Amino acid sequence: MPDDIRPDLGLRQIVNVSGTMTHLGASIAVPQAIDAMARGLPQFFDISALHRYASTVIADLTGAEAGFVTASCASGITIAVAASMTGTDLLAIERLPDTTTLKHEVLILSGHMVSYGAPVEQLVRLAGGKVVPVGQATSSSAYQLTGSITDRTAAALFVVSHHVVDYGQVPLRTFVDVCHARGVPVIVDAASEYDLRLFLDQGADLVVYSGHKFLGGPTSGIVAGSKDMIRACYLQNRGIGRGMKVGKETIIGVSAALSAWKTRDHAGIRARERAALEVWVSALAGRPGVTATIVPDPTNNPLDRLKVTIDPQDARITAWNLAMLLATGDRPVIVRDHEVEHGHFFLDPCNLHPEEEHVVAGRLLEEIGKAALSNDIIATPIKDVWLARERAILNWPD
Amino acid sequence: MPDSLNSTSNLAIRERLGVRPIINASGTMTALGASIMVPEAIKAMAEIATEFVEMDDLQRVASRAIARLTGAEAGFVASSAAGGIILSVAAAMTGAALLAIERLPLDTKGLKTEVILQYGHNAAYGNSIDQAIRIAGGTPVFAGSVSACQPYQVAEAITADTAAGIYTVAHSTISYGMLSLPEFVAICHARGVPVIVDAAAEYDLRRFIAEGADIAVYSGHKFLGGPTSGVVAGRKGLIRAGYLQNRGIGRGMKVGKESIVGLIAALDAWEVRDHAGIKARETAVVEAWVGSLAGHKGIETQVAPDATDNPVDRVEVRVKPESGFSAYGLMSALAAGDPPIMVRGHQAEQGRFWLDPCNLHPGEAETVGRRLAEILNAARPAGAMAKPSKSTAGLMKWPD
Repeated sequence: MPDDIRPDLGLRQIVNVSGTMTHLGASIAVPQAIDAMARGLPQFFDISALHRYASTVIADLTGAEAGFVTASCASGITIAVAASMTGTDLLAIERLPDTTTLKHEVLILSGHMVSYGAPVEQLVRLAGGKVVPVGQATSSSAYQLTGSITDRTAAALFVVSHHVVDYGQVPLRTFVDVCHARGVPVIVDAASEYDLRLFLDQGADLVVYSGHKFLGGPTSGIVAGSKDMIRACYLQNRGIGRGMKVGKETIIGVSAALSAWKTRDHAGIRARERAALEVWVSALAGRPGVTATIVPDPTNNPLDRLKVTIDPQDARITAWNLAMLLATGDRPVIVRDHEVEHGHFFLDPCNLHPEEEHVVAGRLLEEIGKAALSNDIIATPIKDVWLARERAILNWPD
Repeated sequence: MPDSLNSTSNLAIRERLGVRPIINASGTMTALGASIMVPEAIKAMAEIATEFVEMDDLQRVASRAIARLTGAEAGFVASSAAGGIILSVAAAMTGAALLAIERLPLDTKGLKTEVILQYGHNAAYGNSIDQAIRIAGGTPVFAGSVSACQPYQVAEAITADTAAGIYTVAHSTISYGMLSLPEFVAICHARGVPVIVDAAAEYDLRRFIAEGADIAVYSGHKFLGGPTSGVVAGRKGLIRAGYLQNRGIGRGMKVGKESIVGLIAALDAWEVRDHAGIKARETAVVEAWVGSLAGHKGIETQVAPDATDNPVDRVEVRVKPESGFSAYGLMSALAAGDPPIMVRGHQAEQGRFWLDPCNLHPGEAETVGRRLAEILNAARPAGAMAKPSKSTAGLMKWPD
């Protein structure tokens, strides 16, 4: 492994048990991607030819006709929406986000209107699309989707994510059937999904993945789909896609990561993750107020996490205070805390360097042990935690 | 499946990918893969690629590095200069209002949205400045005409809805008749309007901030030799507002840890780069090319300084009909050869192109000189007198 550059920059050497998170630097890039990027960076390329190469790699892995590399999954969605509005009309591409002459309504189930660091519907608006929410937060039906399609409908966006409301939603196959019956293309946001074929097999016209999550590529997005629509995506480089452009290093790196994905030892990785979970389960066994349960991934990725539920009465600390304390010290451990107000967080074993599972176990025992000795329950009101977070956002770069 | 990137082949990477090895005598062009990345940046990127890092803190480190190099109060790393301009416009409109940031681009209720730029500064660089304004939700307001802009045309265009002024520094702007940056800044600042400078391809990291720009946007992957990225430098309040766009329209334009770290390394390297040595090597190349082109009928050369005063000289090659070539025909012959040589041809319709010495690997300058001589000494190929084509037919066939 190369030298750890973080101390040189004065940055904390965090341990990531949160997941493949943008704000923590995504994933551990695979060595094949790092090597390919280093070899490509000093060379010049005809970028359209390089994109053409990446298209063949994406097609090979996803089963799609063609593919396109974008700056991120988020920009891939914006570009996919733009492509569904403009097709290959070059002037329309330059006019975006002005959509006066174009179909520009984009359907999204209300239960899919998530935030992943920014609101997903803003990705549609950024391209000049008008978001048409379908159904209610916790329920949607095929008739609501059908009735929302008009002669101005450009596309429908289907979001696959642990953030979406996970019940009461129209399933993808039905979503596709309804849209295709009216000639509306379907874009699937599959940012954090393992299965590179499933959504296309289920009829999606364009599927957008992150290149830097499970794939372990550089920061990037992958759009896969029919050749015509992918061409229209590529042509957005002449318009709103320019500020979201990718360089040669990213195209090469993500292509290498995709190629590596084919020969990755998925079973071996799964076994290592399982071993880490078991280390944590045994470490936490018998700790008062602490319940550890192995739970599957909510969107069926081949990945288990440890759900750690904290009873503040017995543990003498709230789940969120424990999460905040774990994130301090010489070896800050960053846990998966998006549901922490319910009294639990998760430990994700996907992004560990060798031996870091023991660092995590040690830090858990250290903080849980200290809290157990506390006379008062360590409890900051959650609303204060949230407000402090908001204030901290506005302090950057201080 | 094409030749795998993961093979243990020792073939150079372009051959493994099945894309043509080209020689870049064109410049730091997005369409050709920008620049030769400095080794410091490559090393730093490889080091961070396997580590996790708190991105807000990493951008804080970048802010300090950018401030040190530019003399600005603060900075952040964007995905590209184009992305940096979009986020700067958004910042001027929203400030640090987090809900306004989420509402962009079309819902700009309560925000100032007009962005003034001189007409001759509405450059196209793959897309255009006016689209960069519009994608943030701004309304471009053009001042003056394409060939002249007077101070009153900017001053009177400022209204209560003016969010910012943009000033473009590029070889692709109109090079005369426009207001200077200090003039433009004085007019805008008198009315409290911040000025954003698009300095994508400029060497001088301090000049525009020193001349009063509130934000200056540079490319990280042109002269700096960093990864594909943009450098946004300026006043802390505006820079913060620009960074906060990551919670909104900036999210799709996000940069990863590898780009931020690579850029920081490139900035550090810039401080200790042997600028004089590089210039001396480029001067030698330029002189050699002038020599290779001497004595060919209908070919005239001149060493031409950079259009925006960057410390780069290029060889301007004027191609007269008596050479048996048009400028476009000669460019095409160079690009069709082995190895393909790409020249700077954006004014080929005027019968000239430039040879740029900034992006050459060892030995490539000699190859360019040799190929020029070979082509000019050989029989004229088909298409030797061709006129520049603006056809998009090839483009529309991609990925085929």
